[in-house]
Amino acid sequence: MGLTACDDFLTEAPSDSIPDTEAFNTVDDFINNLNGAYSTMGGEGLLGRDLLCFGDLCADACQHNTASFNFQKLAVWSVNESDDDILAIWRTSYQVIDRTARIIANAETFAGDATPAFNACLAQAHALRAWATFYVTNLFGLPFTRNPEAPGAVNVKTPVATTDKVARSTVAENYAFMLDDIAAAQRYYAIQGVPDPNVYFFNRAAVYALEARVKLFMGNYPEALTAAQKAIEQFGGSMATTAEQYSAMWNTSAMSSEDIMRFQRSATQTHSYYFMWGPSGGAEFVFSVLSEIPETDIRYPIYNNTQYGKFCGTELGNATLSIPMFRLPELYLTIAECQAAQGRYNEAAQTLSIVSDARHSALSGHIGADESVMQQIQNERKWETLQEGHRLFDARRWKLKIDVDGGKYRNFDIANFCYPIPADEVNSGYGVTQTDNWTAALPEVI
Amino acid sequence: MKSLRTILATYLIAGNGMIFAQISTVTGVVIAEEDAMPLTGATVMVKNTDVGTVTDIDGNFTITNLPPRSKTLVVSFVGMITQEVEITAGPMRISLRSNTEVLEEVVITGYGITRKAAFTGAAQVLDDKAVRKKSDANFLKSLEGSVAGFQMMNASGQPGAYAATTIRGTNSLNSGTEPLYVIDGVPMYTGNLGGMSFSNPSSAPTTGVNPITNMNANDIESVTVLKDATATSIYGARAANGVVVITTKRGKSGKARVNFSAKFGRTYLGQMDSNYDMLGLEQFKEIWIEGIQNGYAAGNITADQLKLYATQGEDLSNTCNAAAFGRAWGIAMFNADWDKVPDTDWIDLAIRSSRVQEYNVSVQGGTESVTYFASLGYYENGGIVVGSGLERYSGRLNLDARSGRAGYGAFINISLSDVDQIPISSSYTNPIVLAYDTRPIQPVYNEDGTYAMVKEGDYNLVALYDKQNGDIYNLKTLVTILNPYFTYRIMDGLNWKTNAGLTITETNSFNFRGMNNPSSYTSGQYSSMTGTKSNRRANTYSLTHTLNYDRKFNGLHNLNVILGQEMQKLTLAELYAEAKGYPYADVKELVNASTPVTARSNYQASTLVSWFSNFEYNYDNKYYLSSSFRYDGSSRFGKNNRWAPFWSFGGKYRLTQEPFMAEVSDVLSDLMIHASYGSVGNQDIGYYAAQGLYSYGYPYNSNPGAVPTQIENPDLKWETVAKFDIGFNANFFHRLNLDVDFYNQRTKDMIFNVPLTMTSGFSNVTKNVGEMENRGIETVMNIVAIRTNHFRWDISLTNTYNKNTIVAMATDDPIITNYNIQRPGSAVNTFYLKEWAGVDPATGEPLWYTNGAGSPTTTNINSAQQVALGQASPVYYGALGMNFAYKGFDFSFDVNYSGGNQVFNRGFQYDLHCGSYKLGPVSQYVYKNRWKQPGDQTDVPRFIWGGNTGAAQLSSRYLMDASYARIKNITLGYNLSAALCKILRTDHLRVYTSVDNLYTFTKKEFIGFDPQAKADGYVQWAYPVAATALFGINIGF
Repeated sequence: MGLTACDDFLTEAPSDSIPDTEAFNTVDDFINNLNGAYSTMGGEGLLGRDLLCFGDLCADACQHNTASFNFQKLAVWSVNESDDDILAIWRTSYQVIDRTARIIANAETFAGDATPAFNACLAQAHALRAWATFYVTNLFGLPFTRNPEAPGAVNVKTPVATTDKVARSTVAENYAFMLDDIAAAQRYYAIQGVPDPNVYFFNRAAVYALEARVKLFMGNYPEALTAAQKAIEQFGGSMATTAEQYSAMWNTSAMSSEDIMRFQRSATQTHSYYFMWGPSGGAEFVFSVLSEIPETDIRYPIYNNTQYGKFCGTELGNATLSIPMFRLPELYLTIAECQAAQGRYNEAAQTLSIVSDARHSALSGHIGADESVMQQIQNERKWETLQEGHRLFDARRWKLKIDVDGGKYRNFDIANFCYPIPADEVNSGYGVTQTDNWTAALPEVI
Repeated sequence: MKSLRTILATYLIAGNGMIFAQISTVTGVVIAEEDAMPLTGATVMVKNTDVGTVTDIDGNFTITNLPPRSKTLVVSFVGMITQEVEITAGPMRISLRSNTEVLEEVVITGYGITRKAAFTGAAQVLDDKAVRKKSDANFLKSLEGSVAGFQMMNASGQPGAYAATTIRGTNSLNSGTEPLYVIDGVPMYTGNLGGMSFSNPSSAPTTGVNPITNMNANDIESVTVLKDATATSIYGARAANGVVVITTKRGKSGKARVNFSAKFGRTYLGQMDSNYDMLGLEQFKEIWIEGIQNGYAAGNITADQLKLYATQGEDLSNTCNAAAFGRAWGIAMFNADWDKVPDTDWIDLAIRSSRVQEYNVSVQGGTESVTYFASLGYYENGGIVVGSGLERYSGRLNLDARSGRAGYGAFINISLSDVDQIPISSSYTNPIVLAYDTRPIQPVYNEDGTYAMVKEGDYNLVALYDKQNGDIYNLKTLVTILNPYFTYRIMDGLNWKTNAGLTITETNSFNFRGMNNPSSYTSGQYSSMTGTKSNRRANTYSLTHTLNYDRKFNGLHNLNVILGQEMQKLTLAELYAEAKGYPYADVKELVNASTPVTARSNYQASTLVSWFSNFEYNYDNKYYLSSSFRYDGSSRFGKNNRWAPFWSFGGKYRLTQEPFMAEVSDVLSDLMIHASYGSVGNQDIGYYAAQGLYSYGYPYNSNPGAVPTQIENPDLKWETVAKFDIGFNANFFHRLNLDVDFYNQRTKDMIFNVPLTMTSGFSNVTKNVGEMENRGIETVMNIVAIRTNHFRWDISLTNTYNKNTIVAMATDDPIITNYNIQRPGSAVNTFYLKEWAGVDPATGEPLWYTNGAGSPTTTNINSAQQVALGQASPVYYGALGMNFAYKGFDFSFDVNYSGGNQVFNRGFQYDLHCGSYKLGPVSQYVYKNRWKQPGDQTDVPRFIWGGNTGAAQLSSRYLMDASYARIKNITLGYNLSAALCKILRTDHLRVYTSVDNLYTFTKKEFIGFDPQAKADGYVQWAYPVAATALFGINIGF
């Protein structure tokens, strides 16, 4: 009947989208997709809210007030498999992972020239995938330092097709996958002529910083220390030493000397974490933590801001326009921790003092050069990274027993707990199974 | 047999007439063919002369001054086919056939015309008179009830409002459920192209006008609703939800005939449910004082506060959430300033009566080779709620020409509707919301005559729709239809036709948030006045070629074959812009605004290529067979399933043609049984649903970003509906016609979003997995109850019973919202609510069943489980119509009804609150029925200030039986006799008066304006159904 003649007539493509077969034709296409992956990170499931909420509100330095229902259930440890925020962080993380995996997979068949921009794009794609894998592994699997053989997240080496089956890897396998990606990112960045992107992208220093973070979480102190040092070397910034400088990091749009990488949100992107700290939000500091920060501490004015804290924003925009991902003090604290863990207390004390002295913290001038320095490093890390979504993850790898939900649950062994896989994922029948007996590790009122 | 004898006799007499050519006087009688009753007032004219007369009361006529060489009489009568008869000597007996009978005899499928007798499928035809009867802007409302299986969900009574329509039930959950509309062979775009909401242009239209509303009912010759597989499968992938074929009027050769019709009258709120009225000042004060006392008893108010209320009312402002003005007057209400407190009836201010008028003029005529029909129409309906109203201008030119074997012509139709359409949502720009959410103590005007409340941030419905400075929600819809065609008679019985169609449906919406909208007033300035303009245009292009072979062999075998090919393209383009910061409300164009807010555009297209065939055969008008096949290729389907076959088989057996039935033929004049089976499709699955897509608009750090937005499913295809139909048609005594059809429609491969592992970057993929079933019985009965010389009484009864069941979904998990559930085994849109158990007579506390009726009750709504409670779509519906005619007078009424379903009024959480809405407006129902003392048996709990009993929360307290019967239309008319017409030099003249929607009977438990709701049974602050009283006149020259 000559039906093939009609095929042209019967082919209609939307004008606001392109077919998936046309998505990776040029280097610009790869870069556009990388920007899409970055943009995804700004969604409510990750840096727009939930990743920061998990890190802060589910641990012991911040708590939920009753002003709002935002993120309330998880903050008060009412956890179930159908929770919307658990679903959101799982779904958004895998969107980032899938979108970067598509860049990586399509690069293998890309026929065009591997220009410097192309290589920089791939370096970032690998780094982003490692970054997102790090968080799903840490939320849905046990800490590496607790049990590396426990079930972790799903490694997405190549994009998952609708006909594929998938399975959870062990936590150790997840970490190996992250390290492979970090190594790949570094290989691309090592190629001659590849540019180093600015602070809003996964630049060379940020990849080292990520490597340091991942290896620190694995307890691989010598390599974490080396990576952190490389990051500092590559970055070349300096610590802020006055309250004005520290405040300016948050309430102006000027770039600070401490920022290795910040996430740049667009003006139209929701940034609900900012609202969480507002007058009708849901977040507040635990008072005892706040009282550990003396008035002389240069961080004091920001934390004692009646609203928003680090998200007080610029004069122009209400919400802060960017969210820190890697900052210089984290690297010093990592180095100090690695030194302390290896029994090098003197060096650890010296490294810690770089941070404590710059901040005029309660520790400044009181740092012990013995094993007590580890506790001091943990305290300084808590004060320094408040509101940046780190505390939950640190507490778990340190296997701390903490008080959560504003002290309702005490001595909670948080390293034993991992969040349940979202019911929708398990019910889809593609092979991801629920963590056995995850409810047994929930906190209990003692 | 009787009629055959009559014809035979007429023929013989006429034959004799040839012999006696020169006669000067002719006499005779004019009768109706179907019952041989004499026709009074029939016009009998000698052809091509002015000589003639009208028949007397017994149908007799005499013409004495017969001009020489007169050979032919022209006999005409309203509602009958005009006949030309040879003049004969002696008394002539002339029988006329009724017009409607002619219409009944054919079924227009859009691709061809089939004699109804030979049609094996299920279809129902409505003639022009039935279509014109309703005064509604949307002529489809005249089909409601009258056409079995045709169901409209009129969620809004607003003129021109979009109403979801289904034929034989809802056939899909996630794809389209609207029938296909075909006008003169050209498909019409009928999607909702309504206005877009402020700042959220990507959301569904908040208001809507059905482009079909642009159709002028006066241009319609007939409407045919095609239902089963035989009738619809030739439309293939678009026919799953049935097809509505509209045929417009064509020219007739002869002198130009001019028709003029006018209607004018008022539209108004026909009935107000006294339970749904709100309290005036006295009662408002009374119930709130009681509420405050109960609130004190319940501990919601301290003793100190109570004292303050009683003495000064001062502290009220701190504990009530009434808006600023309500607060101020609330204080006064409990104060000594009692006489200064306003008493405003906001419902009365929101609802009004308006003018309705319609004028239509048409000319019809032509020569043997060219005929024409041209019309102009104007319609206006002012609407019964402030801020609404509709005007429509329409014009049509239908041209047909013939030249030898070739025929050609064009249908041209342009119509413009201009609708002020108030928002129907729960927003404060809906005047009905404001009517129910503004307290009687709130004033319309300040003492200085300016509008009250606006500057304080409260909505004032009078101010909001102020002509000068108010809000505007305007939608203009321009529909242009160009439809040229060409035919060629290749040989006797073999005809070619090419039909081209272009329809352009364009909507231009302008929404303006004016000076009196409180959100325009910020920081002491009217700086936030906002305007949006949006333009949406749907173009459909179609080109159809058909070859038709229609022959009779040996006088016994009848064959009718159609082969065809068709191409179609649909494009949908939209443009939206929004700006704010107007200096005044007078300069409304966006260019006057200071700040652009947003702009966006979009374009979508789909194409369809089809081959089709239809085959009909009958033997001696006794055995009928038919079959059709269509092969559709659609751009919407996945690449592995681009082409879709659809087919049908049907058969019919006319028992009354058998010799053994001859004995009962006086009783059973006609009996046919028919059956059909086949498959049709639903391609309304989205424009690009099968494709894997990447989209932009995901920027990072001001650089463009792309993300995958849709995962490919190359196997995605149409939904298939397998339709089975069996039925019979019987005619008794030539007077009672009965059509009964049983149908079973099974939707297969229903589209669902099937969950996917999220590690793929997606949560779901669109797949063909679901199944649904609609089973039902349709009955249509037409009775000529009485027919005498001067009096006629006709009765029509239509009834449909439909049972819908979801058979399979993507997963076994039901889809639950906070008021309904979709699950296998239940009907689509089954209500799923916590079940209300009434009020505890001892305490006045609300009660709910913990797990449905029969389970223990609880006073804590959180302890109650949601349970399934009835369905949203009617189980049965239909109509009863009666026509009476006495001499020139006629009287008719039509009632339509529907039942077996429920309606859920979500707005009742505010309208029927029992004190939880502090100082909020209170309904009469709550006032009259509230629990006051132990022992009170009622369903309205105790009225408590700030009560947190949960009584206002969503539960089956707001679920009501939606059964109703509506007096849809009453008409009283008078046709001037032919003699009088002649004196007035008119062809015909009719005057009438009619009332639409005179009264609606509902169940006692029903509260509200109207039990009709959206397809999911949900209603809140809907635009009431209007009654319309009209006077009309039709004149023909």
